[in-house]
Amino acid sequence: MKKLLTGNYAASYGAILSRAEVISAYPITPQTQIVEKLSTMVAEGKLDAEFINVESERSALAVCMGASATGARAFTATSAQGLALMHELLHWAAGARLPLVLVNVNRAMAPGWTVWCDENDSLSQRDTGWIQLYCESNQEVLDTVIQAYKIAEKTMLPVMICMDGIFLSHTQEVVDLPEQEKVDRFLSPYKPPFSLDTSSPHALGSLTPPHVYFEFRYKLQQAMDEAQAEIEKTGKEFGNTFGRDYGLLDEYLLNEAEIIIVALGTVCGTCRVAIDRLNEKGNKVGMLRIRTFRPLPKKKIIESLKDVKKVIIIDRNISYGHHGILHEEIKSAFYRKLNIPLFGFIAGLGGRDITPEDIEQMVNYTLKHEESDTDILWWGVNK
Amino acid sequence: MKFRASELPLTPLSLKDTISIRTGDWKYVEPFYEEKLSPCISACPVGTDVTSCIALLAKEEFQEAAKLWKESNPFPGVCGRVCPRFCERECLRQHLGGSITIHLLERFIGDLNVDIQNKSQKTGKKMAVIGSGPAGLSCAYHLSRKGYKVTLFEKEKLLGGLLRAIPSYRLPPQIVDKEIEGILKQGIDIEINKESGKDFSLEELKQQFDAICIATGLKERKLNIRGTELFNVWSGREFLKLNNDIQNKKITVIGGGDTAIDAARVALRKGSEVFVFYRRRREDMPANPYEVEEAIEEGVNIKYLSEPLRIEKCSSFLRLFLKKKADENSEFFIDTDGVVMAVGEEREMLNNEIKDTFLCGDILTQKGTVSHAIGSGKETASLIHKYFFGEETSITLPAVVESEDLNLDYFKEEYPPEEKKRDMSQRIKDFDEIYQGLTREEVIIKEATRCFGCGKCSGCDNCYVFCPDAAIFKQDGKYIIDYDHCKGCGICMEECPRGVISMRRTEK
Repeated sequence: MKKLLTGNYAASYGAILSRAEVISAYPITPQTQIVEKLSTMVAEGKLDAEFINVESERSALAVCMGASATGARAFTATSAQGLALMHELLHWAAGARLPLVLVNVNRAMAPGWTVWCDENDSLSQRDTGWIQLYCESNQEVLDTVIQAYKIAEKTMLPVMICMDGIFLSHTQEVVDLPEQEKVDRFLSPYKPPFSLDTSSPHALGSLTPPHVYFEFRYKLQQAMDEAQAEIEKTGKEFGNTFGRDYGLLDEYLLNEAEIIIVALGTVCGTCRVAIDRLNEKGNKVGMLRIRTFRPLPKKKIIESLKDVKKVIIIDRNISYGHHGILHEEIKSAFYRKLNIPLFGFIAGLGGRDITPEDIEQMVNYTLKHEESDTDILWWGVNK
Repeated sequence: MKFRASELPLTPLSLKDTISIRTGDWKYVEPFYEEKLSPCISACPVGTDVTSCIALLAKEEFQEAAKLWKESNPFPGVCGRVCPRFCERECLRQHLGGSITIHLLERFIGDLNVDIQNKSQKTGKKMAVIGSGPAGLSCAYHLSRKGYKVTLFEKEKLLGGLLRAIPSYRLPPQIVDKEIEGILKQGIDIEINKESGKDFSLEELKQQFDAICIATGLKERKLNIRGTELFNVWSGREFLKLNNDIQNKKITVIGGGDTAIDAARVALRKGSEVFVFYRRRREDMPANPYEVEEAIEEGVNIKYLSEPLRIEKCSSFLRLFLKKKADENSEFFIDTDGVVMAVGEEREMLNNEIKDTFLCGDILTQKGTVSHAIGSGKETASLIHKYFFGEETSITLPAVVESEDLNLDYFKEEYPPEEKKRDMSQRIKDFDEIYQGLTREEVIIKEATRCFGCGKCSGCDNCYVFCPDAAIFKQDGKYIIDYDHCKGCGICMEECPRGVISMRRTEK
C-alpha cells in the first residue's frame, strides 16, 4: 500500500511493522512525531506494545535497554541534545550487546539553539559501538528500520538509523508500506540467546577485570566487522522480498566517473540532480553515498573510488580542530591504498540549504584545481 | 538503488530552504495572545482599568494615569480613602510580598486633581438625575460624557449625599468638594434644595426631560423598640450631622456597620466615652475590619452578641436595656447620655412604573459602598445610552487571570511601603485625616513598579526568546506567532510572566 508519509511517520511505521514490543522516548523536535504516532497507536490498541513515558532521553534508552535484556524488541528515537544525553548509555547498550534500534533525526547541536539539520549529533557518537545507517529518503527510513532489527538481532549490536531532520522528518514522500505478513516472514520474532528472567535472576554488565575486559572489546569489534556482511545480506534479502535492494554503500553513475562525490544523508538526493545536470554538459561525475557509516566499509569504498581522478566529500558536520568527519574517514580508508586528491567541503551546517547549484559549483571548483587550496573548503559561510 | 534522478519519485531536493516546510502543522494545540482581566479589575465595582493606570504611574506618566482612571471613576480621591478595597483582596501580589496598595495609588491619582475634558458629541437628550450621592453624581458624570444634557436634583444644600456623612478624619470634605467640582465641569446643571415629591414630582420632570434617573439611596432602618423617640436618641446619620459638643459624655452606639463605627469614632473625638453594642460576633461586622480595629485602638468599647431591648428615660440620663443573644434571662442595662442607632438601611417603596425612569446606586443594588454606587451610576448611564441609541455597551469580558496563569519566577518578593499614619494620641483629639498617603517616590519606585500587570503584555520578550522553533517574531512592537512553524509546545505560555498567552485546540 502506498502512503504519503513524512520521514518521521515512515520511521513509526517501520517500528510498527517490525512489531516493536517496548517503546520509550522523550519528545524532542524534530523527532517527536515518531513516538507520538507510536504512542497513539498503542493507546488506540492498534499496536501491541508497551509505551513507557520517561522524564529524559537517558531514561528512555535505559528503559529500552532493560526491555531488550528481557528479550523484548525495543525502539526509541531522539535528536541532537537528546542523543547527547544518552551518550553514556550508548556505550553501555553496545557493550552489553543489546540489539536495540534507535532512530536519530539529525539536528544540529546547541547552542545557538536550533531545530534544524546537521549530522554532528550522531557522527560524534561514532565510537560508541553502534551500527550507524544514514538514509536518503523516507522509503529508505521505513525499510531500514525493518532491516535494522534483523541486523541487530543477528549481530547483537544496537543500530542507530539516521535521517536528516526537517529535510526528511517533515517532508512527505510516497512510501510503499509493506504488508505485515511479508514483514513477519522477513523478520521473525526476536529469540535472544539469553535474557533476564525474574525466575532466574542474573546481573548483566558486572565487573570485568583486565583479564576479561579486553576480550569483550575484541568481540565487539569482531561483531562490527561481521556486521558488514550481515548488512549487505539483509539488504539483498530485503530486495528479494520487497523489491528494493540496499547495500553498505549506494553508488550513482560511478562507472565512468572522473569525479566522485562522497556524502551521506539527504544531500545525496540533491547530488543526483546536480550530477545529472553536470553530466549533460559533458562532465563525468558520480556519487558514492555512505549508507553504512559504522562499520565503515573500507574495502568497498576503496573498490568504488580506485579509478577516479578526484574525490569530493561534502560534510554537513565538522570535527572542530580538524575538518569534516566523513572527510577524515575517507582519508583514513585511503591510507597507503589510494592516492587521489580529496576536496573536503563543509556545507549546510544548522540547516543551511545545499542546492543543486551549490553542488555544481563545488564540482566546478574541483575541476579547476589540482588540489584543494585548504584543508577545509567552507561552502556558503559568511566569513 | 541504481536509478537516475529523473526516474526517481520526488526525492528530497533542496532548492530554497527548509523554512518552507511547515514543521508546525501537526500540532493539536496552539498558543495565542489574549490579554486578560486582572483580578483587581474584575473585583472593582467600577471596573476601572487598574493595571493600565498603575503601569502609567510606574512610567511617571501621572497625568495620563489620572485621566485614564477618571474615564471610569471620577472619584479617585474619595475611593482611595473609603473604598473597602475589593481589588486588593484579589491582588495576586499577595503571594509574593503583599497585595499592591491600590487604594494608596488611587488616592495619589485623586490628589493630583487632574481635570479631564468632556469631548462628547451632543446627543440632544435631556436627563434628570435625582440625588447627588456617589451614584447620582457618577451617573450624571457618565451621561454628560456621553453627550447628554444633565440636570442634577439634590434635596440638600450641598451636593454629595452620603459622602457628606463620612467623617473628615477618613474623608476630608475638601476632597469631596474638589472631585464634585471636576464632575460638574463636564457641563452638569444643578438644582439644590429640591426634593422629589416635595418640590417637584416625577411626572413634572417627565414633561421637561427625556428620561429620569433616580439615585436617592436608602433610608435608615429604625429599631422597633421602646424609647427611640426620646431626646438624645439619634439615628446614625442624624448623629453624624450633629454639630453640638458632647464632651465628657457617655455615648452608646447600636450597630456594627460603617456608620456605627463612624459614629463611635466621631463621639470619641468629641471627647466622649463610647460603647458599641453589636448583636453578632466581631467577624460578622459589616464595617471595614481595619476601621473596627482602629476604633478599638482609639478606645471604643465594643460588646458583641448584645441585642437592644428598650430605652428608658431616667432623671438626667438614658438607660439602655439589652440582653445577650439567644438568652432570654440575660437582661442588663447601661446608663448613657445618648444612644445612636446605626442599624443599617432599607429600601423605600418606590413607584417605578413611570416610563423612561431608571435607577442606580443603593436604591437599585443595596450594596452599601461608595464604590458600588459609583459603579452602578456608570452602568446605568451605559444602560440609558443603550436604551436611547441601541449602542452595544456590553462586551464579552476576557477571562480573569488566576495565580497559576502567572510565572512568579520572574518577580521578586517585594513588600508594600508603609503608609504614614497619625499617632493615636494625636489623632483622637481632632478630625484631621489619619492617613497621609504615599509620597511621589514611594508611588513610582516602590508601589507602582511592584504591580505584576496581570493579563497585560509588557513586551518582556520572554515568548520571543524562549520559542524553541523561532516561531514568534516581532512586528510594530507586537508579537506575531508563525503558526506554520509553531509546534504547540506551550513554552511561551509557561514563560509568560503575566498570563497573556493561552492555548487552544487547533482546528482540524
